[in-house]
Amino acid sequence: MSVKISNARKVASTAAPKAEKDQSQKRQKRMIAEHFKKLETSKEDGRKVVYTFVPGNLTELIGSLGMLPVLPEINALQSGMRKRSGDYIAEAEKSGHSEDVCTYVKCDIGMLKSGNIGPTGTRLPEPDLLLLSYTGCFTFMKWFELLREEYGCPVVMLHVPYQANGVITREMRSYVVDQLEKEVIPAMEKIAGGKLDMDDLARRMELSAQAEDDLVAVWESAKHRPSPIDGYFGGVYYIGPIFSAFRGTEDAVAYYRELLGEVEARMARGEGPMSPDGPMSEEKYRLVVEGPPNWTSFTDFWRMFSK
Amino acid sequence: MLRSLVTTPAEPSEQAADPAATLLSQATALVEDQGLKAVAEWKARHPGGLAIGHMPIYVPRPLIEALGCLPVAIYGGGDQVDIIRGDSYFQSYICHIPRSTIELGLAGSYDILDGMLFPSICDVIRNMSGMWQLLFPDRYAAYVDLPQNFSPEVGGKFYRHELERIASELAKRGALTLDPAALRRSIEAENKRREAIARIDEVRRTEPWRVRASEAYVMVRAGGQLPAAEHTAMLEEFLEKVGERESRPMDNVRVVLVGSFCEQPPIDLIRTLEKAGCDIIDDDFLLGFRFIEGAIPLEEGGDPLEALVRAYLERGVATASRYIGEEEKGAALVEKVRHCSADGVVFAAASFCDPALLDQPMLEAALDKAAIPFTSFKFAENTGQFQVIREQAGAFSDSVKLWGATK
Repeated sequence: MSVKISNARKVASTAAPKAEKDQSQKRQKRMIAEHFKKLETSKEDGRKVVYTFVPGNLTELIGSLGMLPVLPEINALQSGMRKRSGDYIAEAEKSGHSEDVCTYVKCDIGMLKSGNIGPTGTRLPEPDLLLLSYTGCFTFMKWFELLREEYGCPVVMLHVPYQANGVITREMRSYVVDQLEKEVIPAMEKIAGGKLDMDDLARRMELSAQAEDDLVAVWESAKHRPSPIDGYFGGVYYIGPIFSAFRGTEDAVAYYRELLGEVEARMARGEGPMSPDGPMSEEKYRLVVEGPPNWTSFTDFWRMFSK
Repeated sequence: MLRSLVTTPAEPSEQAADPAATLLSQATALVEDQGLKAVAEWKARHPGGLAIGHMPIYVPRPLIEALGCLPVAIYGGGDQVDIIRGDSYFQSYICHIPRSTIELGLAGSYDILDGMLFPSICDVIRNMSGMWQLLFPDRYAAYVDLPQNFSPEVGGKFYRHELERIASELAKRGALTLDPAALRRSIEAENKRREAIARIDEVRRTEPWRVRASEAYVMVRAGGQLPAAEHTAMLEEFLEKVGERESRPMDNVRVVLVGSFCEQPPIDLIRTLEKAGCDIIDDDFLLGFRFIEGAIPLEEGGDPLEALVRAYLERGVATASRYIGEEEKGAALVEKVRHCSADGVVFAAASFCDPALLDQPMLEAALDKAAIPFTSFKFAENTGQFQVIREQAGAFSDSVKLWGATK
């Protein structure tokens, strides 16, 4: 992820009042809580659960087949933000995982071995299917091999070719379509117990496109001076719905429409982005940051730039 | 007295008048040839021929040979190269082979190469393809996307196109156009090489005192910068010479070594394991030469490119960088241990090697279930201290001897 960050000084630097949450933040929190509520009762409700990854996620397909997604990466980063990851990683290393490898995996494995309690404090349901969207991060492949050993459930892979020259070729597209048609969708239908409704899928894709259009407009707002958004620390929250369980939903469309409205209003007022301590102004530096933030000290890290 | 304290008998190659000594010296010179002199000599003998480097693990070398090019296996700098500039291109928590490869590239050691191929083994090697393009814009550099879908009409179709793409891109740079007859000949040559390697492996399994793993390693690795036919001749001569050796069995434990398929350990580390009482009777060193199990099947009148594709799809060995689908994880390793009548397994993975180290807990679980003893350590290609590893391997060897091996 390559996003823009704007740095500004706080207007009132003496006090540190608790920042009032935007309506869109409240909406996102509500959406996530509702999703985890659905997961909590999924077995009783007879809904199948699909674990999958953020990059290359096929949430529209999952939703179209009436199943619910769980994203272990998101659980891992939220464990990091909630200061739980240290214990989880230690738990995984105790059971033979190397200290040299990706801590996202170990955090997830450790969480699983510690009762699989998710970010909202309730136990996550076991997967009915592991949908391995293998988009280039090699660790993903091993991660779901490891989870398959733990859960003993089926895995289906979508291998997305690497675009070495930044070009999606006809053959790459054909490889992905072949996999979807011949392996991924049939495997998902088998678990879901029903056929995919292409009209429903098309509708969900349309909703995704609408949500993405508004998200792109949010990113584009960073061109304005001062930028009304913090594309890095704030951006982590902005990508939440589209990167997780809400692709292809009315909820995502409503969230991004609301977010864009708030961003445009800030821009119209000449305001900078929100920080953990309230709105910022006086944009001093404009930075581009590559890579994810330090999840375990997220707010402190943010303040290093915002204060 | 415990094994780790016993004075090790002389290696076959250390004995007076070892019939294989000259060949081993020649092979060692090739392995240590960081400046790729043998490649320069090949190019002098083949004016206009392209030398194409490739990273581990697997690149279909017969395809490159069929285009009139010399495939050159690149294994990094081992323990022979001081890393100065290479480190500045990478963060601290990744393996060593990309550092030394970049170091050697920047130092001009690979200037003789006309191109480099980077197969999809892991994120690090993949991203090196982009780095290479930026660092050496005048040279060919390509990522070889090995499919993780093994269905002929899905992954096979994609892989065939990958091979055709590489052939076509190399042809634009002066290689020959892909000709089925030439490809058939190069696959036949590759099959002969594989057969010779398989015979050496068989000697290691049946008479490990006759060919040590470290010797087999050097002989196989020497072929990294040779055409298949030349390498085969060398291997066959080696087989003949070791047959003349007067060596005797040693009271060692028989181990399978796993995890060194990409970054290679220093040869002295392999010797250290041997000196600690381990006969390494199977391993995944230099896996590219053994990546396809058995011969690449060539049908009379069949399409040789399809044969290359099907060999990858259907005969690829179980290894960490290959998705296993519905198969049972670790079953192939357990089967190998049984087949080789091994006493145990040594996991030797390069530090920060994601594929090997993420795979290892699953393999260990399979070994536990099968009551096969194992030990594990990590290395870097430039590891220089072996005492701890010798003690660990010696203790493992002793414990297997004292308390039993594979049931």
